[in-house]
Amino acid sequence: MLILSKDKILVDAPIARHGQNVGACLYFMGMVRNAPEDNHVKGIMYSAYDQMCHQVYKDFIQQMTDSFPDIIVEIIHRIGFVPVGEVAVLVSVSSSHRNKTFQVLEIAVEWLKKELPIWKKIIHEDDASEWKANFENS
Amino acid sequence: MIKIEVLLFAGIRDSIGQEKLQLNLTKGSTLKQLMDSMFQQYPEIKQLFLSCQFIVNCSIIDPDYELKDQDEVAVLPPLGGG
Repeated sequence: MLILSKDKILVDAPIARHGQNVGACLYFMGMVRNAPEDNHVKGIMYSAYDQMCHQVYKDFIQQMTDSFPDIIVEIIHRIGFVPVGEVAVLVSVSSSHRNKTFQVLEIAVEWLKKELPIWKKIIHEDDASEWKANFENS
Repeated sequence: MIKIEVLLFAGIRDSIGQEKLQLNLTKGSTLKQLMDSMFQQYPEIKQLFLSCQFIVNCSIIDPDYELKDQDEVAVLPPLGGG
C-alpha cells in the first residue's frame, strides 16, 4: 500500500493493517530535521505527482512480491508542510519471520528516494525556501 | 492539430508560475520537438529544464515518440522524496 497523506502519520496503523500472520515488522521513519547545512529549517513542503507515484509503486510491489512472496511493504509519505521533528515518511515491512525483512526494508527506502516522483522544498525560519533534490545517502 | 497537457512540478512550476500548460501541436510532433519548443519559450530556465525528465502518460519514453492527441506530458525535476 502507498499512502500520500496530508495528515500526521500514525505510526501504529501499518502493524494493524498487516494482519495477524505477521511475526516480524520493521519500520524506517524519515524525519524532518534542522540540518546545520540547511541553515535554520522550519520544515519541508512536499509535493507529488500522485498518479505516477501510484503507478510506479504498483510496478515496484509486483517486483518485490515476485522476489519475496511472504513480505508486505507499505509506504506512507507526507504531502504538504511537515515541521521539523515530525515523520515525513514511514516505510514498513512485515513478514511471518524476520528473514529478508531487513534486506527488503533497505531496498524499499532506496527505491522511494530514487523513483517516487515526490519533491521537497526546504522552508527556513525566515520563510526563505529552496527546492532540494536527493543525492546518494541523503 | 493535437492537444497536449504538460504538467509542471517543483522548481519548474515555481519558475513558470503554472501547474500545467495546454499546448496545441502539429500532428506528428515528437516529444523531442515539444521539449525544444519549451526550451525556446522559456530560455531563462533552459538549464533547469535540462536537469528534468520528460515523461508521457507516467512512463519514461523515447524522445522520438510521436505524441498523440490528449497525451499527458510531465516535466519531472530531480526527485526529493523521503
